[in-house]
Amino acid sequence: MAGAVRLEEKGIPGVLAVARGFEDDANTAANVNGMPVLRLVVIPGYVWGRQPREAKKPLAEAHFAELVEALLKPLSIEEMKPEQKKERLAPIEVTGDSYEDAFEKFNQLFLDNRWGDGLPLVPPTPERVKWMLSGTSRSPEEIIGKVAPGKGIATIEKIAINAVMAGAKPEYLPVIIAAMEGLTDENFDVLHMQASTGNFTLAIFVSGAIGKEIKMNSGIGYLGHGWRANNTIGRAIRLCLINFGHVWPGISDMANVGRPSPHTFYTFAENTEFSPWQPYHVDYGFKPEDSCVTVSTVGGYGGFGVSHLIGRSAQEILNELVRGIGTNRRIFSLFRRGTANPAAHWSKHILIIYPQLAAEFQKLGFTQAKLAEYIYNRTSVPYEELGMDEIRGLQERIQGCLDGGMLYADQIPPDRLAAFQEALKPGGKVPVLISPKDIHFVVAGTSSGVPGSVVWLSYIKAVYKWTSHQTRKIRGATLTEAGR
Amino acid sequence: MQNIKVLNPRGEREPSPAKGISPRLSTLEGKRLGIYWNGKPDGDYFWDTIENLLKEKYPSVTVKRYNGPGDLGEELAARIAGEVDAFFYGVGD
Repeated sequence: MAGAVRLEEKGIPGVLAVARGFEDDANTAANVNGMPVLRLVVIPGYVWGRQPREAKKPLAEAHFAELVEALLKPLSIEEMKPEQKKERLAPIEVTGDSYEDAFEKFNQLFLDNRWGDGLPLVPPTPERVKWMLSGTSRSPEEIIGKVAPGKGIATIEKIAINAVMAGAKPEYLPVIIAAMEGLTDENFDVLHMQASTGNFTLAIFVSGAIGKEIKMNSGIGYLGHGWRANNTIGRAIRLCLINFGHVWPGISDMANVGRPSPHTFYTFAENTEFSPWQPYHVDYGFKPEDSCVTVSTVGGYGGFGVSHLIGRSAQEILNELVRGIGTNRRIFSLFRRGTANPAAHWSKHILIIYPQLAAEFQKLGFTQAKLAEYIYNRTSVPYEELGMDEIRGLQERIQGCLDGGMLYADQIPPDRLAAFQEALKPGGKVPVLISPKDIHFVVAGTSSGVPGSVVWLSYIKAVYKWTSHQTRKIRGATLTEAGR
Repeated sequence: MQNIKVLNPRGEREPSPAKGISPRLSTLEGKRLGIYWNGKPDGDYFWDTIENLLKEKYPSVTVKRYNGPGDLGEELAARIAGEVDAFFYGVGD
């Protein structure tokens, strides 16, 4: 929608044509982009119809006159000079016959305003927010960034308000702030995670000493309920995304089924105590003694525990991972220029493995980075084994990158393009992932002898920006030894 | 009576400029029309028919087709703005 606004701003009259069910989404986007009166034509069964070409013909004929009229009908006064709307974000007072009554009214008001997540909220009174802010040395006014699609500004104070509502404790606040720093990074594609019809969600994991200090669960049930730190850190981030991104299901969050673990995301800590490896963040330029949080968009209902791998050797499990990631090869032939096909987008993979398996990998000589490199190399396809359709798709993709105008999800980044051009020659090997950095190993889960699982979270790499994966150092903590 | 005073959890937005849209065309005759499509499957069939109808009903109109992401970005917008007099902007979902 922002694109239509760009053209209108350049003096070109136009019409935005959207599928039925996306009217509210389009109007919200038009408002956010400063052009609330954009002319809209709504067309039912517009895309994804799985219909033959002929079936779209009557639909186009039925809407032709409306589309033309929208280009010709003179502007109304409102369309020439729309009314400027102002937001008022003053404190709110709720009155009831008793505390219970006021508490109920507060919760209903917040939900009616789309400021909640459907579960009861803790009232963010000035006193409680002040208490929450005692967990950080950072100024309440400090701006962290803006959250798409609504572009609301995240400040330390606003994050603290939402953390109170989520039921978090002040010692969690620095983790929540660092996660929001990752999500508001200018290269992070939070828009796709917030708004897409695909049911994408977030993985949020803490590495380093702070996880244990604030009692995050990294053992049995690490993605489960009953752990205040895991659950309320995730929930605070959920509420921040609603309230800063100004999203709401069916209005601007168009996930067609809903996002898995919708209230708390997949929030856990790396099991540093039993991991044989260095903390996750060390491969990303941070010091072992740092505490960090990683935020990453992950696939809808695509995460699964691969418990049938129990009883197999580490090498057999590794072969299974190679086989699975090797299926990404399908993107070679499915790519067509001018078509936004999610099945042709690049992928990334997060593999959460249990400590015992990590120890076995280590015995085979693997660190996390070496494992990723190994899988990357083994899944790369020799040029001689490529089919005609695969070569066509890869050539079209490379040409598209050279010409420009491609979705980030389909592009080979400029710094990797030469390597792919080189690979697409006799003797070359074409990778199924952009780089080994798109395979992430995180250690969590049981160390007690109870069978462990491999949780496999995959996602298209990112759509509207370069990345959907960020690691941030936790800092400014006042109540813990780590993260200061 | 009981009062609960709470702070507003919403992230403030910079005041929106609320711009108007561009003046419409007085006629389609002789105009250059752009059709932008974000590439979602099957929608191109829809726009193919629209293009054919335009050519049939307004023979003096020239149609130019474009593909790209949901938001075409500043560079492509500047290019298209130089090549067309009006546009249809198709976003599948």
